[in-house]
Parts: sequence; structure tokens; C-alpha cells
Amino acid sequence: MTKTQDSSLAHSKEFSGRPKRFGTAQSWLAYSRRNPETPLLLAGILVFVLMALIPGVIAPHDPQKIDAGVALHPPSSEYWLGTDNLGRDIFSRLVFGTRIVLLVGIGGIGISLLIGVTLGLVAGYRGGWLEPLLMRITDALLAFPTLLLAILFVATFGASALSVVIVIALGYIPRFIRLVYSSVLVLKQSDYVLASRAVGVQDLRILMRHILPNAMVPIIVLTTLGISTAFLIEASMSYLGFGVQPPEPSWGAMLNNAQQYLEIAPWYVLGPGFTIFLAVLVFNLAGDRLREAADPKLRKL
Amino acid sequence: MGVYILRRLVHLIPILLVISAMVFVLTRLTPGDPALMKMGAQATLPENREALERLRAEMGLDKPIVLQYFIWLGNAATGNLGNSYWSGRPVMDLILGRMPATLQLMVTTIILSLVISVPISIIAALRPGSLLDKGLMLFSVMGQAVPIFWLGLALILLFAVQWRILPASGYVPFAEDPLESIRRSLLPAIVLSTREIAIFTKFLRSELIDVLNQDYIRSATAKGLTQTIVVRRHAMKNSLIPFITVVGLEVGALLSGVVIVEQVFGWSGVGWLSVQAVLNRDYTLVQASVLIVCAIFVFVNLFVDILYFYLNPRLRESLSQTST
Repeated sequence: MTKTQDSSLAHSKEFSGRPKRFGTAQSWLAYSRRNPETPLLLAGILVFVLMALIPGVIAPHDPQKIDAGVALHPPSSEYWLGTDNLGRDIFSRLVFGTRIVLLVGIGGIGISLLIGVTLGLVAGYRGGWLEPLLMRITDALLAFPTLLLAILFVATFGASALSVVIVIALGYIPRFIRLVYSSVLVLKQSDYVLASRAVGVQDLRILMRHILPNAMVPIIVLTTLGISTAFLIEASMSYLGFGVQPPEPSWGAMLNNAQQYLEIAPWYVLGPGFTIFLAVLVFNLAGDRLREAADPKLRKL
Repeated sequence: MGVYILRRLVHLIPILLVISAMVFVLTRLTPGDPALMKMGAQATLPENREALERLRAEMGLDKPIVLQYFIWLGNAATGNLGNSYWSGRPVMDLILGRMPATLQLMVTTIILSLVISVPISIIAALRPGSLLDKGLMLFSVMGQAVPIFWLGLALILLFAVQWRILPASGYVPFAEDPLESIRRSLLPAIVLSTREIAIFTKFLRSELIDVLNQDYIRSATAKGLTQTIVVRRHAMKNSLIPFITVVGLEVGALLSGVVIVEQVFGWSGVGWLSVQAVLNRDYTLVQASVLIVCAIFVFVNLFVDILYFYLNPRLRESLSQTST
């Protein structure tokens, strides 16, 4: 076994499969050779990020410019995806709508990540009275179908991007709590945690140095998959009129508007829908890849 | 068995309490006083101050919020969830009136998803890695990513606008005209099933592949049983047990999907009603519909848990032995 010279692969004896390594350029190259779609996915994510960061450079037209003369214009070299009922360029509006979608999706999942992981760690590690209380609230939150949470929330606080962020967060906080909580319950009993405790290492240090790193992989996977679902939630809520308000461009809201012109301007429906589909697909596949690729036992932390 | 059901029922109490408290508190945070809204513009006149106070007392709004919650909960338990701000009718009647439309859509969707996903999963699992398997998996990934309202619009465009073979929208009660009712539920049910088929297939396929690699399957094949019998008698039985849990959990996603699809197809069910309620600021109706739908979801999962337990002999055994 020549592999054992790398200390991180010391465990690999237990596994019959080929060793996977992360963190070095060669390993990434080797990995992408075996999984040719991975660089494609990364490129896809990059495109969406660029659309969010520099929409003005990418979009050929002003997304808000109304021009009744070209209303519901079919796709052409001038208007790549056609125009909407007010003559606004659909492609440009999609580009400018990216920022809010990414902000809302990543923001909502980011908030749930922070709150959910913290509460999951505390509930799993500390136990006591907090654990049953938190877990019952978690169960109850999980019993809300996301869009009903959205209905309840928008009825109370009104429709806005912030409402969407909060609905996504409320939907995902319990999922992160559950995930981290069950990892912690197992890790808490592991020899290295028991040993650290026996020699008097502080709880916070044990959590941050020994438990959290070992619970990290499923957290990363849930985060990526969560972001893709968050895009769908954002689009659904905007479609229902619960999200970003017009004239602000938003993929979901564009579809809502497009529905009225379904018969005379079918292209108006295709562009926004396909964009949502691509965004969700790219992040969803990336999450799946991460799940397959990340072997926690072999990963160098 | 009885003990198990009882234990699960007790477990539900805190969940239902938290759900109802959330629904109650959130709708109470709404800007504006319900009594003010009920009286309308004249409530702000000084001479009506006393009448307003009387109305607030009548509506129980002068009591502490915790007491209000328990009064509301007590009423809810007896089926009284208040009257709609908008139409003045009891919200329970409104919701129950829309329930058949939603139930019909959901049942059609679940049947359609199962009928399609189970055979597909078997075909894919028997030849993992084949072109067919890869194609089905690609479909599964795409089915999860496609926004259902877009799929709905695309299908309307094809079937109703282009080819004119299926109606674009509207709900017809089953009792009124069964054939037309089914015809109209086809497109929304296909749209709703897409995600479910994707998820069911993905799960059942990997579950089946796992089971098909077990020793007892090899023994069954070795002793000369045909593939059909091995799959039907040995593999499916063991894969279906965890699959049932997935189906139960997916009812939640389906309840979200129904809200959207009913909107796309103008299907006047509970989802459509609750979106209208939000747009009309009909708080009692929002409160009630969210509470009822969540309660349904909770009970569906209870039923699934019991079914899971009933179908899994190992769990039954372990309970009768430990009797915890």
C-alpha cells in the first residue's frame, strides 16, 4: 500500500473503492475527468452569479424601458426571448431578475443554516429541557407545507422579498435542526468526543473542533439542495403575487403576467420558466454531485 | 398495536398545539383590530367608541391573548372556526365545500404517480446503468427541478391552445358529470404528478437495487424462481415498506403543489380558496384553511406511520417483546 504515506488516507484500508482526495488541483482535475458534467455545473452556477453581479453588462436592454411599439414582439435578433406586454425585453428582465432570486434563495437558506445548525448543535449536545421543546417545535414547523406557511405569513406581513426570505428560513430551519441534531446524537458518543470530555476540553471547543466538522458534509449537501428548492419557493411565491412586487423584474411574477398572454405570446411563458428550471436544475445537480463526491471519512479537514 | 397507535396519538398533541398556536399568533399580528374591521369606517367616530368596546368584548378581544387562544382552540375543536370577513359565512362551510375538488385532484395525482413510478422503478432497477435507466434518472432529476406552474402553462399551451383536446381550466364536480370531471382533472393531475413520479422513481429504484443485491434474492434466483416472482414476492415487499414513508411525506409537497396548480388551472379547491383569502385579507379564512390543511397532513403522516408499523413484521415483533 503506497497510499498510506498520505496520512489522510490512512482509513482507506477499510474501503475497497478507489481513494478520493479533495483539496488539491490534481484531484479536482482527476475528479472532473471522471465526472465531466461537474465543470459544466460549476460554469452554470458561475453564469447565474455573473447575471446577479453585473446584469448591466450582460443584458442588452434596459429591463424597465417601456415601448408600446414593440409590445409582445416575438423572439428576434434584437429581442432574444421576445418582449412582454409593455414592450420590455424579456431576456434583460430575466438577467436583472437574477439578483433578487439569488439573494432571496441564498439569504433564506443562509439564515436557516446559521440558526438551524446552532439550535441543532445545542439541542443534540446539551439535551435537558431545551431538547424536547425544540424538537416539538421542529416537528410542528415541518408539518407546515411550505406554501401554506407562505400563505399564513403573507396574509400577516404582506407580500415582499423579505416575506419570501422568512418563509424559506422557517421552512429550512427545522430541516437543519433535525439533520444536525441526529448527527450530534451519534457523534456525542464517539470515542474521541468522550476522550476530549474526559480530559476536560470545554464544550464549545468540542462542538466546534470535533462535532461540527464531522457533521459538515450532510450540512453542505442540504445547503446546496436547499438553495435549489429555495429558488422554486421564490418563483412559486412570486407567481402567486406573494413575492417581489412589480415593476421589479422577478422570474415568477413574469410568469404570472405571461399567463394572460398565453395564447398570443407563448414565448413570454417559455423564457422565464426555462430560466427558473435551469437555475433549480444546476443547483440541484450540484447538490447531488456533492453528496456523491463527499466521503466524510476520507476527506481531509 | 393499540398501544402504538395511542402513543403516536399522544405524540401528536404537542405538534397540533404548536401549529395552532403559530396560526393563531401570526394571524393576530396582522395590522388592524378585527373589531375595527368588522365595524368599518364608522368605528373611528368618537360617538361609536362605546359600541366598539362592546363589539370587542363580544368578540372576546378584551381578554388576555392566551385565554383568547384557548377559547379559539376550543371552538376549533368543535368545528367552529369563525366567519369569513369577506362573505360572512362560516369558514368551515367554505372550506368543506371546496374540499372535494382538492381531494379529487390529490387522489388522482397519487394514483397516477404510483401507477407510473412503480413499473418504471422496477425496469430501471433490473438494469442499473443501462441507457433506459440513465434516461429515467435524467427525467427524475428534471422532474424535480421543473417549476410546476410553468409546466402547467406549457401543457395548457399544448393541449388546450394548440391541439384543443383538453380544457384549459375549471373544475366540474365529479357527481355532476363524472366523465367531464375526470377529463378536466387530467392536466392538473399530470402536472402535479411530475414531481412525485420523479421523487418516487428515484427512491424506489435505489431501494430496489439495494434489495436485489441481498443474499435472499440471490437464493431465490438460484433455486430457479422466475424474475417476475422474485421481484414481486421478495424484492417489492421489502422495498415498499420504506417507500410508504416517502409517499406520506410527499403529501406535504403535494399540498404545496395543489396551491399553485389550482391557481394555474382555475381549479376552485382549498388551495385556490386560501390564496383568494390572502388577496382579500380574509384572516379568519386564512387561519382556518392553513390550520385544517396542516392538520390533514399531520393525520396523513400518522396513518402512514401506523401502516408502516403494520406492514413491517420486525417492528411489530420488537414492540410485543419490549412493550415500551
